[in-house]
Amino acid sequence: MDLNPHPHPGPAAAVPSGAADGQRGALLDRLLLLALAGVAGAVLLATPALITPFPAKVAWFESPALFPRAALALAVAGALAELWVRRHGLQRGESDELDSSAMNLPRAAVMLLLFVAYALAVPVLGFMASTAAYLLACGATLRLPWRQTLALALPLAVVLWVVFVVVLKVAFGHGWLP
Amino acid sequence: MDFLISLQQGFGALASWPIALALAAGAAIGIVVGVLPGVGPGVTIAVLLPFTYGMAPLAGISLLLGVYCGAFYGGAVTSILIRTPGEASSIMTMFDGWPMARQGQAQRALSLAFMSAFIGGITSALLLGLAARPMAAFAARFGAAESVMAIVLAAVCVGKAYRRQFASALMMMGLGFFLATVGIDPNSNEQRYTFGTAALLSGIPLVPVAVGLFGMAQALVMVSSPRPQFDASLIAAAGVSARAFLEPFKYPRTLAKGLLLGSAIGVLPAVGAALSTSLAYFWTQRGATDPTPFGKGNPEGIVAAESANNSNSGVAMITVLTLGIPGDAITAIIMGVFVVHGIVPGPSLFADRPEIVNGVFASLLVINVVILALLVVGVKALARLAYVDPRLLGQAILALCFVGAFSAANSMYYVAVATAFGVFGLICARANIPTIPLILGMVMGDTLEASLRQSLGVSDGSLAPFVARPLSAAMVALTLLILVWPLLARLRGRFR
Repeated sequence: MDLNPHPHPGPAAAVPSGAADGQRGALLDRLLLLALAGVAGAVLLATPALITPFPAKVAWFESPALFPRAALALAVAGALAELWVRRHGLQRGESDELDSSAMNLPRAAVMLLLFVAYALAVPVLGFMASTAAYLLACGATLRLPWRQTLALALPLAVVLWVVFVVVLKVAFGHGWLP
Repeated sequence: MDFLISLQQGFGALASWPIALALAAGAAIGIVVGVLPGVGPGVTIAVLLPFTYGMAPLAGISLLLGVYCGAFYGGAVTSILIRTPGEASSIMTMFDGWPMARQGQAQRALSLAFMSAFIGGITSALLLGLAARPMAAFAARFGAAESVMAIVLAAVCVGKAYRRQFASALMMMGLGFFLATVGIDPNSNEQRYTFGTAALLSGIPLVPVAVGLFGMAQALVMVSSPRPQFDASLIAAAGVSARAFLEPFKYPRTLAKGLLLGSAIGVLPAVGAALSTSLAYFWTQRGATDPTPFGKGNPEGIVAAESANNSNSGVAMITVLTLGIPGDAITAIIMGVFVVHGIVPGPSLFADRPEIVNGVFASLLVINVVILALLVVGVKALARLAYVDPRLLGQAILALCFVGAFSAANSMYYVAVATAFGVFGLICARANIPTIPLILGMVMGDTLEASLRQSLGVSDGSLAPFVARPLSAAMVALTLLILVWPLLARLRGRFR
């Protein structure tokens, strides 16, 4: 039985990468875990300063810091344990939640920037105009065929405008255009 | 008798146009997202959640349940016709569905899958109706200590469900618990981790976190990945066959295996349908009656996988309704609808809002019938959705993420939170860190903290109630057993 369901670069297909890329990726993963452990640890230690007013004289079991401290300790312990597991190459698990192995990171960054620009443009330009412009810009960036891009951008912008602005009265701001 | 009364009340609660429309729309959207490449029910439910705020609670829940169930069915279409599972739980369907379709039996394979999923869905809904009330009566005996241990046990189960990612799942669960504490402490009114900002006083909102982690992260992956290539020659063969609809009943043992595993595993937090389908598939291989080899188009492979797959949907709601503990990300977001409408899931829900409980039960039954009817009528057209470029869908989802996050509170702050968690979700995906435990932690965090403080407050800080009360002690023992089991198994292996 063929256990590889994806003979093509589909959602769950692994893209072979060089050993150097793999090592760099593993190092970045470990740095991320270390950063998460560091941030959680710092917040754990700074908890008395981050709860205002901090009731220093209450019993430990009545303290508002008890549960967040326990949660942060769990996060730190989990991050360090995962770090140790990955450092020693033990039982490295592949997440089956969201496969990003075929993703192009610079393109994702550009798309994210476009999204931020879209969010900033809505109150200025107006919802429908910004949505149409955003979808057209996405299509151009991804070099999708113009007919497909137009067929998505214009109807979707109009439908979302009708549903949210006209029917549901969501206040996106008063832009120059609708 | 109680069961029939509940059923009657449930259908009564559904008898209104808004709820019927929400239910039908959810079922249709669910099937579509199941077929669409790259889009899953998690993304869709996260984006749809803000739409449910203006609806009656049962209408909102029915909409999301429709998406949840519809995606289970829709995933089989692409598994069978283009050898690309829409969901992880549809992989086992592909093993025999695709070879069967290649042999010119696409309609038979699709009909087997739909009917098996239908039987699974109906059985699961009936189990919900039968088991939820006794389980709620049992859960009503829970004190604060039992509530704490039930959530701790669920958290450990979630970690274990991620097997080789146990530590990172616990880390994310811890972060989720922590995020739930941000804002004004409901017990003592102190400001916790607000950094003096007004926006954080009411805490970190669940909706933009879910929209970011599941919607934006997925959409960014879709727009920045190359378009998948697949053999589309079988899409035109989509359809159903009346004869094959009855075929699953020829394999009662296989059906029973699928239903048993799907229902049993569906109750466990975070374990989900993917495990139950693979276990049912491999169990069916032993003692199968059809002589066709597995992986070459054996109908029992499809029956086992699909019946197990869809029998998760109803039972996954049992722990939500009776204990307020969601089994996975989707039921966690569905629980968000309860929270938004001020409905507290748990044993008291059965006395306070029986129309909700019975309505969920009845809507699951109706949803499965609606989905099957929609598939019979429209599978040929639906299969063509597989041609849609995921990059186009990704940019549309990004636009919907903006709208969904903003409209939840008419606030750009929500969009900023969604964007931040979208980036975080993407980074986690790159680093193979699961994000679902974070959402589960956020949803369960409030209840866990309240119960923990109540329990410790009553006992003056003593941990004795956790081991002195029989139910709680049993859960402590079970939690410890789950944690040390790998160690015990290793020791056993060494002494053999």
